[in-house]
Amino acid sequence: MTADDVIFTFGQWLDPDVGSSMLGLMSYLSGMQDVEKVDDYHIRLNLQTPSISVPEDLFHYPAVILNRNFQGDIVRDPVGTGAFLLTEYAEGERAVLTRRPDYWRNGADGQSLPYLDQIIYVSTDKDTAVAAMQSGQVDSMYDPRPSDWQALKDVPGLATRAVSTAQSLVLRARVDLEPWDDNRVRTALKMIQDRSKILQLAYFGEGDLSIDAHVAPVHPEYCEKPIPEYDPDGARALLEEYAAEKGLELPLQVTLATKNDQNEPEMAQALKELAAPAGFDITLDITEPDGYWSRWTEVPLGITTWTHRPLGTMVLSLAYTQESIGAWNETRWVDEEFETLLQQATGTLDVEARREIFCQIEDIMQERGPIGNPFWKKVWNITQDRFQGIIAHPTAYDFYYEVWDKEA
Amino acid sequence: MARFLIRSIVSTIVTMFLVSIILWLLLDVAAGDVSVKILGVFATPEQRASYRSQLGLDAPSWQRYTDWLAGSDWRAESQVGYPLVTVNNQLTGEQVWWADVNGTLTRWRMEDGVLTELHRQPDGGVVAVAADVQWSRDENDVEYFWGVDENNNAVKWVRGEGAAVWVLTSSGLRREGDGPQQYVPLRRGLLRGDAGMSLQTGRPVSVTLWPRLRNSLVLAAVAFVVVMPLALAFGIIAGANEGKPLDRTISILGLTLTATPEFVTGIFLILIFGIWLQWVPAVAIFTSPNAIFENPTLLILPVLTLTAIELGYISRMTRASMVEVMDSAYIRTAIIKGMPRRRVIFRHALRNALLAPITVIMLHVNWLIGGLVVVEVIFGFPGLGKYIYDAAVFGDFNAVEAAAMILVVIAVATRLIGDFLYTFLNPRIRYA
Repeated sequence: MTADDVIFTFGQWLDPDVGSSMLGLMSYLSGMQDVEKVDDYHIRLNLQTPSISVPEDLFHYPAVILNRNFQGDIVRDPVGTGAFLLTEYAEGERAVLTRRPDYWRNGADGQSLPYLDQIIYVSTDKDTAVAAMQSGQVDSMYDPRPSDWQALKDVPGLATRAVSTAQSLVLRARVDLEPWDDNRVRTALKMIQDRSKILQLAYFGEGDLSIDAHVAPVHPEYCEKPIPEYDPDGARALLEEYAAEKGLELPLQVTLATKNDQNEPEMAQALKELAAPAGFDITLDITEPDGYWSRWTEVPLGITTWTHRPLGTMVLSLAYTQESIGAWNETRWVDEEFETLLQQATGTLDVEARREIFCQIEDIMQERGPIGNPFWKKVWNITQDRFQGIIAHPTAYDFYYEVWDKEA
Repeated sequence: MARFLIRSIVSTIVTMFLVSIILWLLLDVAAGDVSVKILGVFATPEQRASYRSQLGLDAPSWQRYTDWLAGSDWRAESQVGYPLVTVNNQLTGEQVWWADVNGTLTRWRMEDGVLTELHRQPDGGVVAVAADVQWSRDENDVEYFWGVDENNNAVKWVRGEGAAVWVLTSSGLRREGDGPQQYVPLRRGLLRGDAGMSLQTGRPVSVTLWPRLRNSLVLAAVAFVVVMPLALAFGIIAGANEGKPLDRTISILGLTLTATPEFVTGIFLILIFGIWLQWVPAVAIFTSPNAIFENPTLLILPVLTLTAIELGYISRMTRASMVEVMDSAYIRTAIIKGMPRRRVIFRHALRNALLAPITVIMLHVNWLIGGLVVVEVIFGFPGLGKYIYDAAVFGDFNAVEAAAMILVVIAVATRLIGDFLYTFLNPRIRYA
């Protein structure tokens, strides 16, 4: 692989016909004319606007550099520069990765990476994987659910590593539809979140409480704010004011859509109960994941799962700007002041300076934003404790470059 | 006997043929648009149409059936004008199709209106050269060319009229210009040992199906060897001791085991022997294709679970049959004339008492091989049952058809074995 392959891959990302989500992330590139080949091993990006997120964007999960002759099937053309080679692949059963002897990187001890000779991925459902972990048949499992964590956390011989993330179940409202076009109703909805109770019910208490701004404490530029209290009376007062103005009767009938996937039903049920005293009558509309993903940008009120992104600016640009309407702006919420600040923050390298801007950004989202966001999830890496050098990654990347087995 | 065998084989083939046609029609009518399953609900009608034509789904049903049965290469060969050959890809197990142009294995690629020839080298590498081909003209004076593309299709390109096609990649659909106007997916057909590609996985059906079948056969065989002698013994003992405490004990035990669903038994076995005591592997983790032979202990808990279900069932059948025979006049006569009890049971009662259980046992073999979805899911066992189930739910017709053919063969074979056992047990039954 050379710079030509990188250029080829950039070409694919920036081609609207390809439809890569990298296109939205790389709005600082106006096209392939901004991507310049320096020599066989260097390229240069000429940014239209300053951005701090370039390194993180290139580490984002869709940002895999492909060989320019890649035909779309990694099993048929296993070409890459990674530390392991795909040596066996059985559909729906198993993939065997074997150490690449000529891998380019050395570890801290000067030996060539990777240390592991072989990794066998076995495809099972999660319940089977938990049983296999408990009986010691496998060494690790991919992305354990909270219930798996409960089952495995006290098993002797297993090491559990938790990491706080910016993954969340976002309660989001369409601000172009009634009644969510009225900020009083949105604010009332935010006030009915008893955050620690929701976290307990939906995620075994394993997370960090949040503040209704899509910025998490793990983001470097997070500006700390007090966690809002559960306030059904305040919410009821707002709703009564709104209802009187509109000539409506309380309770306000609304439908909350979500999917049965990652503990959303528990959160939805908790919200329904918590919102009742404030004058919301929430009907739940829970479908299988596909059923929700086919309409996630369309439902008036829904709970959408958002994955972790390492910088506070990244999700905000994806989901809360004018440009992202029609793409990932599921709430249609646009705010001029917010967008100006966001642009300013994206071009600010100094973290402290960026944090100051983020204090205002978070204020705006709390005050008039489109989302309620009770908590940020934790994720876990659970592995046999004889393996060292393991990293729990917030988007559940498997890093096996520097993992070693202390008993081997 | 020979005539009976021949008749059985002929009837098997007819059965397979009929089953395949009926299944084909059912899947064609009932499965709906499989492109919805593959492309998701966001795809546009244009994208769907393009994708369906790449799968050859725009061809009439009868033609797709004959392609499936007998292959499409002979049909495509006359269009392309060169012999079409396959090369095996070791890693994926796929047959890769090439046109044999005067000894050079060739495929074609169309990019920006330019046709390129890809020549396969003996070492497996590919060299691209500018294409030197004769474009044909049709009656409307449109220039076209039939070749083999890089996705195992015989395709028709029309000069200056690249169709916009939507190519499915792992990141979604990608639009490409310069696409072919017509696709004939190349395959050898089931009769020539090619079960086609799975729509669900994009891999050859046979690559997944054979190992799955083997795993299921091994599991079924071991379960069979464990369960049947035990169940028959219990049934015979209970039947010969009708009404006595021994009979009651066996019957109650058998009923309890049978009444407990396999997902309950299985999970209890996993919890007790796999996780708590750690005597045996809790679940069937296959770390290599031959894990089942390298580490046969993987089979212990699945087999025990199956034993629990089958034991009570078969032993009850045997017991009932045994009781009936023991009540019959000739057994009474034998006992009255003073023959030892052991001799009465083994020489006179047993053969007749086994006729009914054999029928049930043989029917159960089919279920053991293809119907173990629940057990396979609990133990993560890569067997045939779950594969068939998933394929059927998806509407993956190649996989369903191939699996159905295997199941028909197994059903007929077990019936044959049952028939042979009948004649052995009761010489009055003759097949001719």
